[in-house]
Amino acid sequence: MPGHPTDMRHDAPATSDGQPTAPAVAAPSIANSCPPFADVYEQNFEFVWRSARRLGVPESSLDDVVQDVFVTVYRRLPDFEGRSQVKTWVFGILRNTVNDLRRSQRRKPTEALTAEPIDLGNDSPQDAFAREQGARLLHAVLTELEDDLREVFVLSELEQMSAPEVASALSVNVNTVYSRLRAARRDFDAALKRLRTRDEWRMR
Amino acid sequence: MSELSSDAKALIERARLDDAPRAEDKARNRERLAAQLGAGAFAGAALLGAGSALEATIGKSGAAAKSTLLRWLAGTVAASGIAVGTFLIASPKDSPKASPVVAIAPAEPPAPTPAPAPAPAPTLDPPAPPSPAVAARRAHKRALAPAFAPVGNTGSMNAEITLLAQAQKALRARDGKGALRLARQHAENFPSGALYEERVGIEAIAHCVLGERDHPAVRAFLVRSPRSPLSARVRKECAVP
Repeated sequence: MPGHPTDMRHDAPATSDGQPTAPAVAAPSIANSCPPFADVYEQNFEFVWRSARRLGVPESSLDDVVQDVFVTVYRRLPDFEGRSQVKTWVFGILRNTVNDLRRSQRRKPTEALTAEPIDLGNDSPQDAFAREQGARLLHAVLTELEDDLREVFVLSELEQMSAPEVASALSVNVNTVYSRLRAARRDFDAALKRLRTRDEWRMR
Repeated sequence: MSELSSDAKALIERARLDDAPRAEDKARNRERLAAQLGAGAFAGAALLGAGSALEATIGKSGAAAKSTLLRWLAGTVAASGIAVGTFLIASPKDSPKASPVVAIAPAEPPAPTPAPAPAPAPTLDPPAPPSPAVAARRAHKRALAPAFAPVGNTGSMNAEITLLAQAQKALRARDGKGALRLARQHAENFPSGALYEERVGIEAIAHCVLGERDHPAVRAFLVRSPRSPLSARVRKECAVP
């Protein structure tokens, strides 16, 4: 994947080879004032959860992916030097974890990495239905996007990150973010129209 | 920069906040992490130093093997008679319960310690003063560990989840009084429970269901837990912008 971080610069996400990065905890880094894990967890759990879904992690793998992300966060936190935002750093870890899952899924072609129905059990039936329909449609459209475009779209349009933040999270330059976002918006619109048309046709 | 269609914008606007995890999702995740990271802190060298191989194994072996391993680790901790929470909270400086961990930790750097005086095999006696690097690492681990200390054991977590799930069910049935009663029962049974935030959120929503939108609990929840998965629902239920 273009722009996939392969270097080991500080604050870079975990390695992309499917292996958890060895702790390699350097004492000077530990001495730095890295944020407490509890804070990182509380402030990013929801973000990681919904982003994992939006990147196409199936419900059956969601728990494992989110757990793997925070285990990696815990292990690598001493290396975090604050050169990027914690949120973008965490997203980099999530992204690598999801890519690992994609690779393993490709080896098992029958288990496509696609979005699944959402259980929103806390609302009135009408609200829950409307919200579930909206979320399901959103996920279905996101599934139509290429991975690179989907990442940019999720961070930019759904998480409302700025282009420099997205660039930092994905380890690409800002111009790449803009060009991917342009393409992602175009493809999102097209996919949405396609799905709407299909649904209307089915309703006839 | 091309713009999204109005249809796409509307969809995004509606669905942006709808992927929030439920309270049960977060509780489950915290519980699993507590089992894993708590055991890692307990094992000291086993997970951070020589244990990197173990972590690599965890990463490689897939969900099934991982959950088996986690169950084993959790079981080991429990069987050892050392309460993880107690260890995590205790200050190793003044609590003998932390000593075993301190004793294990020197094994953490895999090798290059040039013949440290005949290591008095892991005992309850405090070891020789650790190197600054090891000390810093231990301090880091101690600072991180209490994060999940209040989670409690699996049984109490399940009981918490059950109780709050009933409260949520009451909310869905628009039974504000019932939800409040269950939330208060949770407060009595688990005054420092792991699902404190979820309980307070349920209380706030229950007040709004009862028409008490100006109840101090509502404002207090939104001020104290603006990032809670329940905050969007509280705002909606209470018509707070």
